[in-house]
Amino acid sequence: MSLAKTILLAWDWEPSIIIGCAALAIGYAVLARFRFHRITSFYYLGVVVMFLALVSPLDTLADDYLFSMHMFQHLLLSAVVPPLLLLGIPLEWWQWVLSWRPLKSAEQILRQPPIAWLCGITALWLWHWPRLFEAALYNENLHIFQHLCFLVTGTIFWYPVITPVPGHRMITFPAVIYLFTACTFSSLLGIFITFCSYQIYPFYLQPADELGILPQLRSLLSVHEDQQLGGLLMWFPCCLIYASAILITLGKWYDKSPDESEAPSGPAEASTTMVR
Amino acid sequence: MTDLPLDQRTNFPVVAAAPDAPATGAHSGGWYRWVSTVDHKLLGIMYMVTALAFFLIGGLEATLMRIQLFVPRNAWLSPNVYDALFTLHGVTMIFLVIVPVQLGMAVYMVPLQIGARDMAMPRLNALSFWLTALGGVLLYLSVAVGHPPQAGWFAYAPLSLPPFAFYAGMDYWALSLLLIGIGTLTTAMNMILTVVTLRAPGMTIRRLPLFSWMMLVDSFLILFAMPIINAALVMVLADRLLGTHFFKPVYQGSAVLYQHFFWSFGHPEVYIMIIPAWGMISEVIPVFSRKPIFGYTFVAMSTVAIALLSFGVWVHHMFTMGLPMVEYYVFSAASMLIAVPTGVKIFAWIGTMIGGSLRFTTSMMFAVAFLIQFTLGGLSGVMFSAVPVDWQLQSSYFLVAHLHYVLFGGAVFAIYSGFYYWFPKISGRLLSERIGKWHFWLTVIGFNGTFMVQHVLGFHGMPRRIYTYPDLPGWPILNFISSAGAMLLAFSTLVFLWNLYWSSRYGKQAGDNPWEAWTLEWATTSPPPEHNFDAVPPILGRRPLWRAAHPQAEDVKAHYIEEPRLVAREKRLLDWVSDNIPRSGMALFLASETLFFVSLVAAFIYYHYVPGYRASAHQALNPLRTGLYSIALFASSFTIWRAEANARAGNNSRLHGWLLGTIALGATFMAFQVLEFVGLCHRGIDITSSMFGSTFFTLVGFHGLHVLAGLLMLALLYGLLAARLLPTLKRPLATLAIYWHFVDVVWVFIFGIVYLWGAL
Repeated sequence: MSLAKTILLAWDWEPSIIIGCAALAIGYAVLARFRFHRITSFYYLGVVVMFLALVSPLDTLADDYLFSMHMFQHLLLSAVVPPLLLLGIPLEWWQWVLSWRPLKSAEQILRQPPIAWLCGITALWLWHWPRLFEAALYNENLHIFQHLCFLVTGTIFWYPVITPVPGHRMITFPAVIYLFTACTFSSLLGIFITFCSYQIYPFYLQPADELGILPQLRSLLSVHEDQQLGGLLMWFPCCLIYASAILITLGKWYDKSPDESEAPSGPAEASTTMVR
Repeated sequence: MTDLPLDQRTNFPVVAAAPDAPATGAHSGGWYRWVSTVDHKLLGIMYMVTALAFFLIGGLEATLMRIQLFVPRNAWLSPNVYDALFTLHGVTMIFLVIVPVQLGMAVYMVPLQIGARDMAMPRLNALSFWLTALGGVLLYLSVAVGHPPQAGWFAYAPLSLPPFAFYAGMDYWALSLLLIGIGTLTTAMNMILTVVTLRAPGMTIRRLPLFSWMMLVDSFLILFAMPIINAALVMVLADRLLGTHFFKPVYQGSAVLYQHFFWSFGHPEVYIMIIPAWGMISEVIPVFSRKPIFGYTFVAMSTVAIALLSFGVWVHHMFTMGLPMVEYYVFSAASMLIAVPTGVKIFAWIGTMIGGSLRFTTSMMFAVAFLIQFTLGGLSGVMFSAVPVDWQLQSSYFLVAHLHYVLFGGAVFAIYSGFYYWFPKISGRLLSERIGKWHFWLTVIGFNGTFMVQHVLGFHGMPRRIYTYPDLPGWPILNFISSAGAMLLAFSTLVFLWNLYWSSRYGKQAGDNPWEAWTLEWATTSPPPEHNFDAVPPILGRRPLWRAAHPQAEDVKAHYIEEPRLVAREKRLLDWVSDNIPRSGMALFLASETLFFVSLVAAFIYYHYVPGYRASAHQALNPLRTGLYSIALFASSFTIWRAEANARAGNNSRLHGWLLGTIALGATFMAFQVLEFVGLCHRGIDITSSMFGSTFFTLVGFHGLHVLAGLLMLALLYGLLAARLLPTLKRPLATLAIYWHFVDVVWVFIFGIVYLWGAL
């Protein structure tokens, strides 16, 4: 089969995903009354990335062939899509959602940094436990649940960092610690998988080769190299995302504190305008 | 203390300074004043003087090496002596010169730049200095006993271990680095607390002079990099002295693991060395261009980016170790990426100079030379990020040239620049410009003469660390040129010493602000009085003194609108930190200790997969029994929490009880641990018996040492309370409680990983 034909055949047009993404896209447009804001592009970028991650040949490679591509897919679902989606939701919508009491209480609990952090990191470590991970590879429903889990816990994790609701967003220094520790702990998992000398997930030893591309893939990446690359993808790009978030947070804080005041004034006024 | 406005709070009693009041203690002058001082200025001077002394020693070592390399097949120095020379030269220059002198300049200047009276923890400041200085003395004691370390400054295993290194020199190396490392770590904690809590009113973080900002970032980098090398050194010492097998391939240990640990520290370390230099350059260039720095935000943020990225590039020191290519691709890309923020800064500094009114004082000349030489060093460095190039040039003289271009041509030149800039403030006299120009040109010619040709020598294939070389084409003449340059460089250092001596006696009086600079340290006398400032000028921007001199100027930027609630919460956090400096310091220290334990746990997990390990673990450990006596430790967290509550309420009688309870529970835990260890040894499972023994006893043992330290502190506090030497334990106990809870949480992880995951 030619390369082009293989790529065409490798798309996984799962109906639930198509319907879900369409619903997200259309629902947003309707709620926004088809008006375009600056943040709309973030939201749609998130939907597009999610759609591609779950439907494009990346999904086929991830589910059937390569551990590294599976890690890349999970990275997109838990660390790229949720922040993009969150960034796209305007403040008024959050306030409308939070006007419902049960949702307000849920948000109150879930946005506490220790809880949000634990949600994100625990989901990460738990789903990489070999038994669970392999079970998800063999069981399609569990796999869908796994992906939903990443999307939901990712959203919970990024919410305290991104939310536009005043007073609900973490202030700078705790946010930096939050992101830094998350970076460290997800790196540790990546480091562990990279340097592990044995095969953690036996599924990838003998994948069922429906597309007939296994020999070409194996000529590029042996099984062991595939695992190492997966660990490296979990480690590095993930770290870059957290590092960028830290830099953006610090940059925003930097922009906020006043640096030159407009009125040159004497010592008395300087002490009353004391800000940090 | 909390009733004082923030600008007047210090961590020690404020004394009204009468002009002739004695400085410290009963004796006001002489050596006693220096030995007992906690004044950041005196400590800063001591740091700098100590670093200068070690610079001369390290320079002598380098000079001896270059004399040995003047001609091929030179038999003047024996190989062992040469090995000792390059080892000591590396350790001295990195850990006893560059890091301490920059920390010393920061310890002196940062409180002045932020308008503070001293650092946040002056006594800790003194402890840090003495640890560094005495750690250096310990290293050179190895020479005195005739066994200097000879395995290179980074001492790869197993060369650093028996049977390749039976001599005691490596023990001195490891122990002195541990001491120096702790001194550096405590200075970093102090620096963070100082910059965060003791800024004068109006000095927002965004108005910080770049040197202070760089020291803040540098301190965080030190906080997280040092524990990794501490763990590695502990493992090396355990291998050497206790018979563990961490890095001994013969016993299933891994020599490569040492390199991973070392370079995880080592790469952030090189940024630790260069970031203060960037800070000094960012002060000097704007002042001598009469222009504010171009791209302040870029320079500040790019430093944070570099600090974050620096932890993710260490494998580029190991490209020749035969690790899988997949890893090499990722680290190669990351290493190229990290060059970008540095490049941003070079452009910012050049942009500052363009259009400025340049004054080429000696300080400025060193700064300009820094720009050129550091860029050259950076370019040769980024060449190493390409794996095939690295395979050709690793451990050749090209590498030696690269590292000297960034560390000498970069950091040392920046230090000279900062020194010529700040010497007037420290001593009250200007350094002679005439001698300074001689110093500058001799240094530039000597430095480039020494190291430029080494790039070529590297291409010709000359490896580093060889005590002599054969008569291959091109090698003798290039080595001769390099050695001649080194002699010139050595002479230039003598010129610098002459400048110091001459200017201290005959230098022009400097006055408050000889350079017409703008940051706060120039708003007080030279040298500053003990209390630093009689009055801090109003701080309305980044250049307070310029603004004071030009009140009508139009150089104002628009306000940014703040989100009120965020600012209020941030203020509350900041106020809490300022009111709780000991607790905040403990939190910083514990953040660092976390990485120490993470490193030991990483070694444990790594060796878990060695054949036979799981079986040994399963046979040796009894998770149920250990879990039961762990309850004692967890219960002690509850008792110390109650003790803290009673201390806050002033209920000293109940406090006694809860404190004793905590001590008793902690001691119970320790007793059972000791019993477990003894039981294991009786069964033949000790620290030398297998990889399990090595990792288990080290990890659990270190946790036990932490518990023991906590128990000793608790006992001390109890004793002080019982003897009525302290009226209340509210603050010390609050600080200790954080430590105690930390030790508990660490045990949760260790128990889970060692006893549950590792043994079931």
